[in-house]
Amino acid sequence: MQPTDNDITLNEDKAQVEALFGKQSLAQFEEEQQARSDSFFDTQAAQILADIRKNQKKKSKLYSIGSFRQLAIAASFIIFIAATFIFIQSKQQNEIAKISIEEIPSEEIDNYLVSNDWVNELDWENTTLKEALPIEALSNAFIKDSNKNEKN
Amino acid sequence: MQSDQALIIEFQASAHKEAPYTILLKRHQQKVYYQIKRMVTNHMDADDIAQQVWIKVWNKLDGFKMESEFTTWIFRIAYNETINFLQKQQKTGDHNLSDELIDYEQAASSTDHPKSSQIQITLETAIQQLPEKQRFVFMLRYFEEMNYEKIASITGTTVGGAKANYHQAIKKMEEIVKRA
Repeated sequence: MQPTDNDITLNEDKAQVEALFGKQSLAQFEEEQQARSDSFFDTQAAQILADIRKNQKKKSKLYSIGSFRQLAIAASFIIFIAATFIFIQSKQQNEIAKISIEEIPSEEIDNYLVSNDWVNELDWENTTLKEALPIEALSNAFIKDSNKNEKN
Repeated sequence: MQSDQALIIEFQASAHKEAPYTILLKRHQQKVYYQIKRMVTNHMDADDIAQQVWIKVWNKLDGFKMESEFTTWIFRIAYNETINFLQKQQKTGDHNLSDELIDYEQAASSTDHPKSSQIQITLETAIQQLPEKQRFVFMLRYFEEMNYEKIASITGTTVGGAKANYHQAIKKMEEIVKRA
């Protein structure tokens, strides 16, 4: 098999360093890096897997706390919206209650009465009844007074 | 033997992710570890970084789109984790060059092949004096025999940039040898 361009340049690159330090020194350096017992990598793999399992458990715990937190945020948001709605409603009702009859323009009252004839009639009847009562009372008082005068 | 791609598809599609992941882990674990070890010198640090790398692989493998080889992707994670570790060390001042050289000497005395010559010490000094990116590129090219396209993808640079990094590394080491 013919060497590729990469093989040629790789050999050239390696030769530059080997010319400085010698192949043996570089090989010894590498040997020092790899000075690990046979069981080292098995222990390391077991440790990594144990760490991952531990993290997974932590994550699932965090997830349940996270979902509770999300629910709490959603609940407080709904409570806030509801409280704001109630507050605005009560404020509006108070404002309506505060409006006195003098503040309502007469045109509005007329319009209301025109569009609600039955109310107009009802009011009229009530007013008539109310006004009739004092006249009756007055006439009774007048009769009593005239009877007294006749006796005298 | 299942290919990396088949194992990744199995991982992404299945609820039982551990089986394909374990095969991938055992297949690439040593190469990843050695590359990290070449960068940080201390075995315990290398072990910690390697574990972080593999946990990241687990977390991100679902989103891996197979636009590059799995080895390129995993070495890129290893590159980022190692550079972050070294930069943190520099910021906190936990580790300096002389510490690294002491680590080397301790490691050498603990092996069956004690440092035999001055040139061995010079090599290790030279490697440790290289900027992190140049050191990473040098290790990938010389020891992993990777092509520049792959090195460029791993280190997030262009092919020209990767080549320049390698040759700058050689130049710096040459200067150190001349001074020694």
